[in-house]
Amino acid sequence: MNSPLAATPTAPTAPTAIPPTGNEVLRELRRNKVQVVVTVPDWVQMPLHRALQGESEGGIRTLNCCTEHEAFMIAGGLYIGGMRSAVVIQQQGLYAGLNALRGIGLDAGIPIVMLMGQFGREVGNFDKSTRASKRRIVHMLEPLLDTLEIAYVKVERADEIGRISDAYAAAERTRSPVAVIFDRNLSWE
Amino acid sequence: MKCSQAVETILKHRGRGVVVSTMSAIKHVDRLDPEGLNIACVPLMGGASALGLGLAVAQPDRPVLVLDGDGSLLMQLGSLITTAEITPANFLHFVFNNGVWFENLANLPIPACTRLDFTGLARSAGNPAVHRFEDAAGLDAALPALLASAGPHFVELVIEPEGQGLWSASNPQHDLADFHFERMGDEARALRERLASA
Repeated sequence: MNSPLAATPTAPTAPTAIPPTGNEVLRELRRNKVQVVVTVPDWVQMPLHRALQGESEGGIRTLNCCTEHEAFMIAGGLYIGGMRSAVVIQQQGLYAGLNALRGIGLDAGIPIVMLMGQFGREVGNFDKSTRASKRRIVHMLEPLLDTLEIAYVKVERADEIGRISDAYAAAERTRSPVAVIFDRNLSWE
Repeated sequence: MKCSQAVETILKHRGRGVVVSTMSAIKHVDRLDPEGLNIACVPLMGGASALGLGLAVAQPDRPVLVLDGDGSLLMQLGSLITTAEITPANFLHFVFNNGVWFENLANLPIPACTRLDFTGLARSAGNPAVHRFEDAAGLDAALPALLASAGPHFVELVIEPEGQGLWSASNPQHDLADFHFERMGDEARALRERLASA
């Protein structure tokens, strides 16, 4: 594992684990002084999208993009211009936008934090590692991140929400993209 | 107009603006204004417009001028729609329509180059401020007003491609130095520092 994050889990959590709510993720983003969410919306993180819709003037701004390629580039521009962002996408978005992330994130060394939903994970995989999922869309994610030398953390329960802060700290420290993976749908309130 | 003329004209009017360049425009920015607030989006075709959008949102009091290629924009046409969604008033998106990939290296025609209507695409994407210039004089005359008015502005520049340096057996591709693969990061860090201290 190429992760600088010691807390990165590789074992599965219990199938009964309760994922965090959208508002809990939003509060953690605020705690990390995130000013802008750049997104192509994600099925898994829909409660976060709903929470972001409630942001008022002066809160976290949402920029909706057509492609994840754009999202990564916009996040890069925001960072250069002095703003902190979160890129909220599905794991398919990583696959789609890979060359942009290679260029602006890895080669240019910009600390892009990606909040990424594991779309399509089958229920039968909930008590196993996602690397053992029978679905390629799921099981290829972590090996791909390892290949790219992109560190990641997993947030499967509300009490793991602090790992988002770990991701921001690691991204700044290593000047590199870091992924926060939600293996289960965020909880509705 | 030639690419060099278009870049020279834009740089003449840039003021305190940030310039994001890609493809053919890069070498002219390097030559004409190497100390400006510049970043080259390379090697990454298709990324310049969205990189500029992020800069424009983060630096709303400063013009952001994107010098994009036509082939590059075709890779990320959705960025025209994202521009219309975000509507940054300080954003000027110049597309150098030379009709070719690898100008002055191979001059391969881009798809539908003889029928493509970039201003029509930009307008249909929801961008009302759309402009087209065929010569440097027209661009030179219009730029002060464009920079003084609220955008985003989409500007198609009709460029005559150079052709004297095409690759051949006696003029093959040269090796690319590390500089080309490292400059975007170096320029990103330098630009961030300069913007923070401005």
